[in-house]
Amino acid sequence: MSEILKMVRFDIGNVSTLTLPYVAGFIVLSAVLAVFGIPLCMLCLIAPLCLFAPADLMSKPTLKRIYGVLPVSRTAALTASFAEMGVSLFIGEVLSLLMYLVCSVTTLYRLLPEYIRDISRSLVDPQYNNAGFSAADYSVLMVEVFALLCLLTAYLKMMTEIHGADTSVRYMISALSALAAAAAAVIILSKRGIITSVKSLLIPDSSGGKWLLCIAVNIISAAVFLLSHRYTLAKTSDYEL
Amino acid sequence: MINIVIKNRSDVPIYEQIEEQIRSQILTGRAEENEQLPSIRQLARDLKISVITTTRVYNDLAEDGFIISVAGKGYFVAPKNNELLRERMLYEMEAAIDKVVENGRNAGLSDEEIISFVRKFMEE
Amino acid sequence: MENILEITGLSKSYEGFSLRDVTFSLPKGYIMGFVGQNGSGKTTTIRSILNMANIDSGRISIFGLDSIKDTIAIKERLGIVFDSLYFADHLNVKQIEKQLRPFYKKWNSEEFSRRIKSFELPENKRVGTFSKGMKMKLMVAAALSHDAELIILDEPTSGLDPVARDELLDILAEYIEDENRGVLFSTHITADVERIADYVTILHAGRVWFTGTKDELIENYSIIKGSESELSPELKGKLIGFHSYRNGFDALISAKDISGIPRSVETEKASIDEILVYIAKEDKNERNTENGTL
Repeated sequence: MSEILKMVRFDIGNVSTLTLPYVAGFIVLSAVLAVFGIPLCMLCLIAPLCLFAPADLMSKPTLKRIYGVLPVSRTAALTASFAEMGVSLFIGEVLSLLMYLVCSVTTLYRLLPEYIRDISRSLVDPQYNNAGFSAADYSVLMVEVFALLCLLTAYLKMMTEIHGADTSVRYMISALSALAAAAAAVIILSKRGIITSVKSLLIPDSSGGKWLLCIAVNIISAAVFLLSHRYTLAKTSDYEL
Repeated sequence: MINIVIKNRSDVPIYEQIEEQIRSQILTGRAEENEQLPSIRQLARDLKISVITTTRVYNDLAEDGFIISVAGKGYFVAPKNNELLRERMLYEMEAAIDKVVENGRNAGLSDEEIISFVRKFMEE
Repeated sequence: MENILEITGLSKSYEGFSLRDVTFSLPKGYIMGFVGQNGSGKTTTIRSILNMANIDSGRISIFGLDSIKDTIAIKERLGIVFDSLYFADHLNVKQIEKQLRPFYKKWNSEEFSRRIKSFELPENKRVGTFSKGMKMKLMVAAALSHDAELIILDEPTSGLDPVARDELLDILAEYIEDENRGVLFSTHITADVERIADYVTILHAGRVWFTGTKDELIENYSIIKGSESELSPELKGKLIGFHSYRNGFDALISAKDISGIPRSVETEKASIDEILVYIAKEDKNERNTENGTL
């Protein structure tokens, strides 16, 4: 455990100068705007993850040698990496939901100029948007986006570790294409009337249903991370530095 | 104080160069008796050469009686009354005398002339 | 004499290259120079020692510990210097020290600081802006700051000017004053090996061509030159890297074979550089004989 923590601190040390000011700044900005009813905080889902983004992009072979130099096991480095991503995504989820909550209950939106107010309210108040999404609905959506991010991140990390960093772009493109294809399918099917309501597809009506979905999604996301970590460990145990 | 200078590009192996320099400085009295020499590793460090080379140098010199090793303290120039050293110095003297006699005779001097030449030399 | 590093029967195959049955040892208190052409297997050997590469067979022991099972315990006591920096470019020396400190039980911040000052490295500049010599010194400073007993350097002086090379030799000479330590450094620059190494291991085409004291190596090989007609076929077979040209020939010969050469042939002590060249020539000659062009 302490080995993993050491590696996490090490990774943080590597990237914090590059990303921390921007990530922290963005979160603070989102919090401030949330007080005024502007839901920029929705993007905070991904903010903490961006803290570690360069760490993964920095996997040049010459830098990877540090794992051969330092007295740590290679599995610790890998586990730390997965943990960083999982935990930062989770923190992003919690942060953005909390800020969104503030955003949805604040009355300060009245101070906003009209066009900003309209856009902001449409993301919070069912009376302002066509689909009739309530704040609760949007929250469920955010949790689902969080799950998607977890899936994508775990998948990309796994592929990068197993097949090398140069191929990561290829996997990213294939993942995004799959997503786009799925979205296109949903749109076509709903236009054809086969899917009557996109909303009911994604968001349970009852409040209990919504909570259940959120909890289930979180558990599944954690499982995805754990499984992809396990799988990656098994596949790369023989790899050389 | 012993002074050592090595020539890297010489045909003479480094260990021989060092041994020769230490030997001649001891024989000519430039190195004082009981003077302490740098340790094997210190010498290697100073000259930036292999420790094995300096070890060999000190072993050879100790065997020939030029230096002595004192347990726990290091290497020292052998005192002048050291048997081996004395023997070596006499040997050097013999070789030098051999040269003197040969040169004198070649120059056409008789043996008595050579001896008085030597005496005059000592008086100066 | 205890061995600080012992490699026995190390074999490892890659596509198109293999290390075969590499065996050599470094006793405590000495410096070993590890030389060989590019592609002879030096870096692969070092990576095997560091458990960065998986070996097919053989055993490597450092401080008496197994290089695979005890790799973490070993690395606490090992200092490593590569030919290029393994720290992130955008960090500065102070940040790197903070990064390294938690990993080593014996990390000594004052020692690191002292080294950085004596190497004249700026503490607050990004290390990506350092010159090659400065980067090397940074790795050396890190290697020397946790009481390492063995320092392994892989081509530390490639691309360095003579002043920086000399400074490194000085640092290594000072380091090895303690007879409980060891140094293994691989290099092209055989002049450095000739100067300061106690032991030498020559690697050629993945095999150990020679391992032993530097004196043994240097006193054992000579270059001979003369006219080809003076050589008996028997003698010719013992020559290494035979090279014939219009007016004569030159080749490398081992001391044990040297009694057979005629007086008219010139002999000269071989430098390590020359030994490497003749070994390579010998390879080429063998290949040409097989191809029938010789």
